[in-house]
Amino acid sequence: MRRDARRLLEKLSRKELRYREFEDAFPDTELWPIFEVILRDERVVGEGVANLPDKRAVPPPVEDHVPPPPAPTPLFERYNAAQAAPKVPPTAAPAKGVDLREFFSRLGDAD
Amino acid sequence: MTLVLMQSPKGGVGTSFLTAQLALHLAARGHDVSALDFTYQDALKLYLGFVPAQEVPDLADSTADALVASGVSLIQGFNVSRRSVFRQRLSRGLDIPFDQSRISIIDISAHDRELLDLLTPYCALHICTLMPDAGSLAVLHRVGGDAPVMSLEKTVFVLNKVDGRQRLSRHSQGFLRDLLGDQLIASVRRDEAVNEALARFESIAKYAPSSAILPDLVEFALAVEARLGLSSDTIGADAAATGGR
Repeated sequence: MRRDARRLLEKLSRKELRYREFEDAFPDTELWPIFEVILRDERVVGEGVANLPDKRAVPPPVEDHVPPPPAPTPLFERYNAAQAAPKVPPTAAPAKGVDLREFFSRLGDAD
Repeated sequence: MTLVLMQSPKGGVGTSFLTAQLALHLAARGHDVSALDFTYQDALKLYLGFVPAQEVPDLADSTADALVASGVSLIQGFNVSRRSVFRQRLSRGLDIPFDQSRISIIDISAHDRELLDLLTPYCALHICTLMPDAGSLAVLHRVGGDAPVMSLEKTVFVLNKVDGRQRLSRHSQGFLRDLLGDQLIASVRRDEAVNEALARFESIAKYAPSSAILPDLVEFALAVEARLGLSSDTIGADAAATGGR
């Protein structure tokens, strides 16, 4: 533990720190332009989603005094639906074992 | 073996750190774990408590004893991975009889996309580290190669160095959570104590036992364990005192 942290704890008669989450002042995620670029990138979201019509204009990053952005659009709702879909769990591999090191060593042997 | 690949298209996001922490936590939970460093940096050993001068046994030398840290066997695989015959044989798609009883976690360099592609068919899970910043977001599309990122069934994400005090960090975390859904399996907060512990060759748990990221790292390991289908209530609780020799 850093000395300044230890001194602070001593002043507070505490033995350990408690961490606090800093909540966002805005209820919604700010739509930074880079977010918009990602949402429209087929290499990230796939062709079907990337080509969806976007009803939301791309605003510049807002400052703290600007009111929060509008509620999530259908674009985000679609992601939420995709999120709810169950993912395919990793498939179980055959049980018979082999030593990894031996395997890689064999692969790496010179010709 | 259960193969877990740790690779991000963005360097400097803490992949080696998380590789070491994942290995240590899984070992602490009773799993048989190997950590393989396939990077030129050879830095994985530092996160396991070894000094830079420490020689790590080479994968090509099957007779050498592995370096062991808190139950994790550390092996250096960079030299082997440079051999063309190694990559050729991997590309042929060998039929490997995997043994679920051992977990092997491989740290792959950000630039070594080829190795990631070659090993992916053999892996149970690919974990991509991102940071909640513009640099990571800008390379997100590189994660999937030819396939859309969100369609990758073996790939999951961990967000590292999350800082709730920073606006973009906060918003990026929320954005990625919405975008990736279940593919984002964990978030680890930023803590300078990680860097300080590394400079002392100490584990983060020992150097900063009150660090906020310790529970984050446990959650990360539990999420990976669940993804691998290895969760078990009978395995001893994570001691959280992970790291270091």
